[in-house]
Amino acid sequence: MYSKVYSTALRGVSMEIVSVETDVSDGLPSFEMVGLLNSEVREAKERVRSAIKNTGYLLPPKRITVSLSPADIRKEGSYFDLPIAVGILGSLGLINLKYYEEDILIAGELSLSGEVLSMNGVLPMILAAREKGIRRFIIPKKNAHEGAIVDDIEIYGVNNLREVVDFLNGGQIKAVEYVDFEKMYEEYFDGEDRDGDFSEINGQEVVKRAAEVAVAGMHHLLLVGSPGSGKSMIAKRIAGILPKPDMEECMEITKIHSIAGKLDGKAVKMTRPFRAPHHTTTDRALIGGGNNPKPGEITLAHKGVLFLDELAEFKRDVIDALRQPLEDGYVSISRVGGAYVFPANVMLVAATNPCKCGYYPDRNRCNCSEIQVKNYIGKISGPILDRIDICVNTPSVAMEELGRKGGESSKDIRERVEHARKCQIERYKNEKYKFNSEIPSSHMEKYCYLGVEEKKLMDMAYNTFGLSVRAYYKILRVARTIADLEDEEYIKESHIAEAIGYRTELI
Amino acid sequence: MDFEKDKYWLWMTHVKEMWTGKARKVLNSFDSPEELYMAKQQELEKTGIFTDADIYNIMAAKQMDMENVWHNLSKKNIRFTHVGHSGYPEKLLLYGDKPLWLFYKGTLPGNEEKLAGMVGARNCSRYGVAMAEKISRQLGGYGVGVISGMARGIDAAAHRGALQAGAKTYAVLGCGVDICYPRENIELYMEIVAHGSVMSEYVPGTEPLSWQFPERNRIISMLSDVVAVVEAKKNSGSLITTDYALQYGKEIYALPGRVGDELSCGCNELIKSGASLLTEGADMLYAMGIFDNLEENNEKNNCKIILEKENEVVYSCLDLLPKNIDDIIKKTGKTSSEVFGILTQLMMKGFVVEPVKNHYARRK
Ligand SMILES: [Zn+2]
Repeated sequence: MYSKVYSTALRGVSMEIVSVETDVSDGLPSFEMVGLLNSEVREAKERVRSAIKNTGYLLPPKRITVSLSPADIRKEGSYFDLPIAVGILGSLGLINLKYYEEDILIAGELSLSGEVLSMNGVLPMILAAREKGIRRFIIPKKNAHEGAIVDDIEIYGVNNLREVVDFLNGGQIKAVEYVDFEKMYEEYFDGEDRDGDFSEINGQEVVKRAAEVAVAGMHHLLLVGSPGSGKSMIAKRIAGILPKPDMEECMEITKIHSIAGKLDGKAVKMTRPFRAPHHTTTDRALIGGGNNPKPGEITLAHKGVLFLDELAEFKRDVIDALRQPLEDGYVSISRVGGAYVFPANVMLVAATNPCKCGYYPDRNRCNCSEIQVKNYIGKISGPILDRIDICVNTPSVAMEELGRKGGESSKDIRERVEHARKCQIERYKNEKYKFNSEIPSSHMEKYCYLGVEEKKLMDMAYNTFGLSVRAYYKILRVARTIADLEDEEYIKESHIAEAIGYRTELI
Repeated sequence: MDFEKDKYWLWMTHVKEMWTGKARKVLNSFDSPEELYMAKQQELEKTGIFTDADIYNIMAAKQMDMENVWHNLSKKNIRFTHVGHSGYPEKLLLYGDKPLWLFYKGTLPGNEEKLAGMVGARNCSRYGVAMAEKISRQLGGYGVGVISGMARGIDAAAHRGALQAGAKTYAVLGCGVDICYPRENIELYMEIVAHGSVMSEYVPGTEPLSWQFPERNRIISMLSDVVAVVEAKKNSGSLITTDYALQYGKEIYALPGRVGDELSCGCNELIKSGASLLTEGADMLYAMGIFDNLEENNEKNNCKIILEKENEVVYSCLDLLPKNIDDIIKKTGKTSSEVFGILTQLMMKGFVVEPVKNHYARRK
């Protein structure tokens, strides 16, 4: 007898719908599976056999054939255990066939005892299935609520194979209740839930200001300072002063986190991500890759902050691999089966010690020679520094500062940032780019117009500081953002002077 | 220099491992290098001061083509002097452990020339660099040259200060004079050769080895009329120079520092044990027997910087030690963009430098 259910296969950061067809016929007893399977899927055979047995059914000595299609999609993951088991039981007549009259998507890994284990990627799977007209889902109970925000569908969470059989034979399981995302989105932003607030940081006025400017114009940021000067504290809070993610962005972020299994039990992720890979990371872990490409840290940080602490300690090829994604906003990996595109729109925040020991120029603690200091900073790859517009020193916080209550809250800062972003959206509505950090050099005259005095100041700075042309443009872009923060139409001398203070020439 | 007259001396310097101490012993047994050169192997053995290796080295050195060695030195503009030679600095003759010979590029100090030695930490602070440069420049203004070791940090700053004042400066190296160590000081090296000399008791081509550096410090001390220490940690190498200076009866000056600063420990310790306190170049003149021209040369009087009031507020809270922007903002009570603006102006006018990211200091 023949049966068919739907399931899902992971491909990069999206889920593809796969149909699972089962046929049980007389003949030499066998269990065959076809359809470009990886080893994990092939092992499903043993798990399914055992789970069926432990649910109380006997597999008769018949010829069982399972086909997963379309055949050109590489099937990966262990979501196929449950649909295969259901398909076999259906073909054997142990499950009422009438339920197949309407399409149903089943996904989940089975343990040998028949328990249904949790899975990743529920939300993108459901969205992809709904596009194909599939409206009913049987998925692991632990993840069932992750699909709750999708309208007009039924999701049934199950704990074990027995529950699935009973349900399909007419039993009752309560469908997951629909959650109104729009309503939730609005409510959420009344009660903030963030990784620390800027008001907890004392002193460090210049750093806080630089962070605000960086966020406002989407400039990548580099913090230079001694250990304990609060570089990671600041970096962590930057995600919280980025503009609120809109609903579309929330969905994008949630989908990626769903596939990576990093939703931590939430239905939707409504905070911008903050990812901080260690400096021993590989380029594959950072950018994504592998035979069957998986997204890297930069994609997990999509729409949020990618924080690289100890920038000078990262391997050079790892950092150089960041270059293209930072430029494009996405990672592109080509494989025999086609190209994989992972979104990678991040704000880069990097941090470094000023020298190997970390305490230069405090000569009571640092005994690095000037040459060693230069070499340490020189280790930072030039191409990545080229992409960073703002560099600022994080001073060590004096003891007396520690007890004091800090200044502005992240919310206050974020409001100014959102205003500056609005100015940019308006200004660049007819351009291909959205932020001041993206103004191409050919548009400098148009968008970074300088008056006579301002021009004079820039020329003087150009000569005094021996700026490169690239550095010159960076200063103008940053000055543009400062002007936007202050609601000024034209760049003024004070904006330029401040931008000069943030310039990235380290040596 | 005269090849015929000096060739045996030059030959002796080229005997392998003929370091100054050994050479001194040898010249107690032999009247001159020439006599050593002429000695047969049995005669060398008879003295009982040589090991087998020494004798082998001496005999081997006789195979050298000294004319060729001589030619190579002159090609590199390296000169040579030795005890008893007319060009040998008289000041050195006073001391028992004087170098027996010197290789040099440039001109050696004249016998009447006033010289101050200046030494200090290699990994010093910005303040140390600025003070060393300034004091050295002030000394230059009084016609006093500066002698040091051309190391990184204070040494280099001391030479630079003298050069800025158009005064003479001399470097005693711990390696051959044809080697610029550290390499990044190559421009300084050329300047020193042009306005004084680099000198060494080691044969050209000798690599910089750590034990040679304390040795060269003794020559710095011998040639100096006074010795100044600018920044030194406790038990640092710079204090070897002052040990020699004490031994040779030279006046010692030390730049005071804040108690607790590691780089000031050595100096404060020196002051405590009797060194004179150094705050400006003029302090050292008296000990060198210079009493006149003090007033008009004083640099302090002619470098008063006139600034607008706004800028003055920021400038006045800076000093030679780089300060973080946050501290400046706190001290002046101005906003960060105001302070950035003023600092940018001051940097462009050349009054302020930013040696470390967002740390600002007066230029001098
Ligand atoms: Zn250090």
